[in-house]
Amino acid sequence: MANAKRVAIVGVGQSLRDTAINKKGGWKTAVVDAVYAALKDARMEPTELDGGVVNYHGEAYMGHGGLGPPLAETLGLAPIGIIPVIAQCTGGGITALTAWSQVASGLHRRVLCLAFDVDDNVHILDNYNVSNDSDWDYMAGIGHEEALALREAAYYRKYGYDLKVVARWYQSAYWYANRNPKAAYFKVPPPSMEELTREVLPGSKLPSLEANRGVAFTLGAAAWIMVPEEDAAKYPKKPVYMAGGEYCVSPALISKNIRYPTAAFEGSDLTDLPATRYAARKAYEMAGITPDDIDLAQTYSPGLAGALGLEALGICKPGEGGKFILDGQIGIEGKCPTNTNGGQIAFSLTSGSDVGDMIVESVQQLRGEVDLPARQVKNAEVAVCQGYQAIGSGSTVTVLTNRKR
Amino acid sequence: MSQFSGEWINHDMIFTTFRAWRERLGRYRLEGSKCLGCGQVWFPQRHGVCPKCHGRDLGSYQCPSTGKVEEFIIKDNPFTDLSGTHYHGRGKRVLAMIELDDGLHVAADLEDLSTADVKVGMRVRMVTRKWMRESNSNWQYGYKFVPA
Repeated sequence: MANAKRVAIVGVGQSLRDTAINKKGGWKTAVVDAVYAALKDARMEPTELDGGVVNYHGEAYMGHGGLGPPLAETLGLAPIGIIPVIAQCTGGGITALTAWSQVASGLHRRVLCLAFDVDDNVHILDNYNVSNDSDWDYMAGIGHEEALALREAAYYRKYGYDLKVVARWYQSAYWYANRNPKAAYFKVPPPSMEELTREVLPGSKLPSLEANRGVAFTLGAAAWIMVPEEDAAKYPKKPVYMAGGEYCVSPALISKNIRYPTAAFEGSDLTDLPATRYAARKAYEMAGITPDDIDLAQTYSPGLAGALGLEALGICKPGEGGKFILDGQIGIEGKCPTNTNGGQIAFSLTSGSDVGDMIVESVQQLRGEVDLPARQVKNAEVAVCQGYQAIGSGSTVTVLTNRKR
Repeated sequence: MSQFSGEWINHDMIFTTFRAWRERLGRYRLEGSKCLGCGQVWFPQRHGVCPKCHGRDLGSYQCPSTGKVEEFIIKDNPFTDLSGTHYHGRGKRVLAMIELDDGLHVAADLEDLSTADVKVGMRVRMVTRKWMRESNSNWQYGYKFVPA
């Protein structure tokens, strides 16, 4: 698979995550801002696009369905059909995979990729949990957050960590966001270590509200344009290539993430993210890399998901993600700078846009053109982006590189 | 407001009674499935295929109603009155991963106990309690667990 046909990303764009601005125009303003920024970045006219793919969290989350026609018309791109993907926080990775297939097959040559979401069209605190199995866990009151909290509790118990891990993780996110003018929490002081390590109840090892406050729910959009590798030289920016990618899944109920009785999940428990692990294995094989080649990573970041993600990506061994974070290895001078835009904690948690935001950030890092130099990873050549869907039961891993073949 | 209830009820998503009825045996008494080919047991009930051997011949299986707490969290949701989750008892709650006596796992709330009394390894038994509301304001019911 190392010889899979690569595609180039030649333009990227994002909407601001300043909620006070974005909420005036809603999702339509956000998608227009992101797409036209990507077109400008590529020096491409809208009429040059010949295909499109879009991800959003889902109809229940934003109150819109059948998005192909309204989206294309909103963007002024009709009659181009923009294929909808509905895969929550990991769908931007599926958007990239779908667009890759279109370009590599020759079906289209200039494909718009878009990932977006809106947090205030409907009551998302209820409906975003429908991303879980809604016949069982959802009805029993076990949503995305509860399932992740069970994973965290199991991780603390198995490896002997405490809330300092998640506190350091959150503070790192704020460090990056404070150096990212597009971040929702740009110039917002981070919660203190005391706030972040305060338990909801003594002995619970679960953070109180102060930590949860750190997750930056906003609406917003990310866009990027993919073309065949051989066309990359036609565009002005340093080319970045999608060299590997995969989407894998694991059982959708949190109770089935312990000793699921098939060979693929043998020995798995709540601290494991096999969907990410399998997707990473395939994506690295396609790209011809190992975890040691990774210069920076973007992972799904609320709570301890980041530590689990670093381990599933192979950047750390099982149980060592917590130490990696405590040792500062996710910082700008660390072994693997992680969530360099501030991540979902402090850049924005925009669900459908999450992996799209990771891809845009990675492209800018690999070009060496991050807006504020303080968070520029020096001499970066390989970036990975990890999506986390529902309870971690779906995951994309995307490998981007500026290396030529 | 619902015409049937004085409580504030959110109707962004309309669930029906039908889906609850389809899964009633699992929700009310932990009835799962057993593969008649390889013998693997499952909860919730499978719908026509065993993922382990891919056999299509499945029978019903009665899960044990007792087990032990393998992991738990104490959830303190501050959005109780605003979240529209329809979930009974939302607010401070104990959510546990329970290993049933046959080794199957179920995630469910623990009730009838103080949060300070929850321990990994404690014995629990299944009860039927309120889950969420249906679109007609009726409560859906399902499994929860209490100290054995």
